[in-house]
Amino acid sequence: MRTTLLVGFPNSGKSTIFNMLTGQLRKVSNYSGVTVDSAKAEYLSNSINDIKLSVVDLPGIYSLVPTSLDEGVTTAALIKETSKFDTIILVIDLDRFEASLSLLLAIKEVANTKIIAIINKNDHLHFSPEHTKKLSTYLGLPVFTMSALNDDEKSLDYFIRQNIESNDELSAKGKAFDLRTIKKLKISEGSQVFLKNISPDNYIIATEKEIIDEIKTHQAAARSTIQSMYKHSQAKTNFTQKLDSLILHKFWGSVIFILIFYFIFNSIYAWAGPLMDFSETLFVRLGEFISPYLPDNFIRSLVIDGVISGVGGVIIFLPQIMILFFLLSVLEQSGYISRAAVLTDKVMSVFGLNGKAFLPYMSGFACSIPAIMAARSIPNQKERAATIMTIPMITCSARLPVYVLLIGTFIPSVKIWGFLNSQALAFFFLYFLGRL
Amino acid sequence: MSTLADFKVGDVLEVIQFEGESQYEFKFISLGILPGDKLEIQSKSVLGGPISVKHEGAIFFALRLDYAKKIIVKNLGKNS
Repeated sequence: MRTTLLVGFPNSGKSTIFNMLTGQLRKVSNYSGVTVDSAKAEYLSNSINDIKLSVVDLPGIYSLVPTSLDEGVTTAALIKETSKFDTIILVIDLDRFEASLSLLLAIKEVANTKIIAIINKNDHLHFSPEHTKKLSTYLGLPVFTMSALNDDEKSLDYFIRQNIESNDELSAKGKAFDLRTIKKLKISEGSQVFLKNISPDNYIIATEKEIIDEIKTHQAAARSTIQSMYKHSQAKTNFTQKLDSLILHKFWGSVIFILIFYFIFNSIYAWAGPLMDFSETLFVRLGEFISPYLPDNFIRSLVIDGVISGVGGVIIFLPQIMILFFLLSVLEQSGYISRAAVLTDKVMSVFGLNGKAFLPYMSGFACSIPAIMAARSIPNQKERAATIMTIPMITCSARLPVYVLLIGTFIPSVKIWGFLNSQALAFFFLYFLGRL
Repeated sequence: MSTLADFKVGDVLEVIQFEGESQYEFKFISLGILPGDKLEIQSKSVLGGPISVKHEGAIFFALRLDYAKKIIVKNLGKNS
């Protein structure tokens, strides 16, 4: 089994490409820092090819010098035992072309592995085959341009395999594919804590000034390359920009934020109600339907009162959980979460938290365990600890049925100000105050 | 000298340099914000929350106020 590594910026589509190549269902979202640990899986195409490949998905990085634990995972993988890996697949985000390219230049200097560059998010085909060719010549590396949104995995898979094979042929003849001089990675003393698992022989300690100068050199090289060959179109950002100025507005932004969350909790009540009634009647009917066929003894009681009403009692809450999950995922995919992080950062900081804690809290509504794992993307240790400690207090979905039962019992269903449902409102505050 | 935090929504600014500890400069540089780049302020939050800016007419960044205060800028006027 030969291994390829997926590396690139946060939110550049590494996990999407990982899912395409392997057919796995790793969580992807329109938000940075979703992947906080590495995952490994085999290519789907292994069954029809001689060379067996696997791919490792790594957390996104902005630079090779780690500033948080999840970035440390990636840096460690890149500079430690590079012989274990066959190829680095570097994902370049076309929307952040310059900075991604500068990361590639930095990795090229320190990683002793063959690199394939993949330009992702070419959704509008602005990056033409000629551009790809030029970039490939400049870098001296194979470049592949794609859009994870529109393309399927076949041509990407083929491209990766072809490169690995041609590399094998070259090395069989005693020629290396690209002859790069490999330098040791320079990191600052402060970053050492994120690289505890690897031996200090793998890097050298440099002053922060040296490191910054090095990154500046890469950025400048990336910028001059891009300016000489490609002009990124900005037309598509106009709509997003108008929307942003509204949802990030001083006053209206907060109003919209609260409305969205009220809508979510209200819809759990309003939409799930009929479905719940429906499934409840269904189970009662089922019991009535089956009972004549069973002998009138403990077996009947076990099946009807035990199995049917027991399982039914749980399944009744399924619509609510499904609606909650559906709406939360819509919110994640839309990219609203990163705006919400901007809006909540100040409020959260009053409690010693980071705006980035918003995503862990959101997934805390579903389940606390992945939420605690997601807290790894928060750089400051104190904020991270505070987030992890408070996540269990978020009402996770398993507690949802309990709330529904309690609210249904104790809160009468009346309209407040003509449009607010008192039960939904109680629900909203249970969640909202749980968050604070 | 004025910093990014001193300007209003709609102002277009040019980055002159970064001040403070080098960890700030490190973060800006790795994000691709370099001296000489243009920033346009998109929004400011209530109570001194983060500022969102558009970098070189393309990429959005949200910066906390303490980060924004580390970017020394020159005013280039309003966006047309």
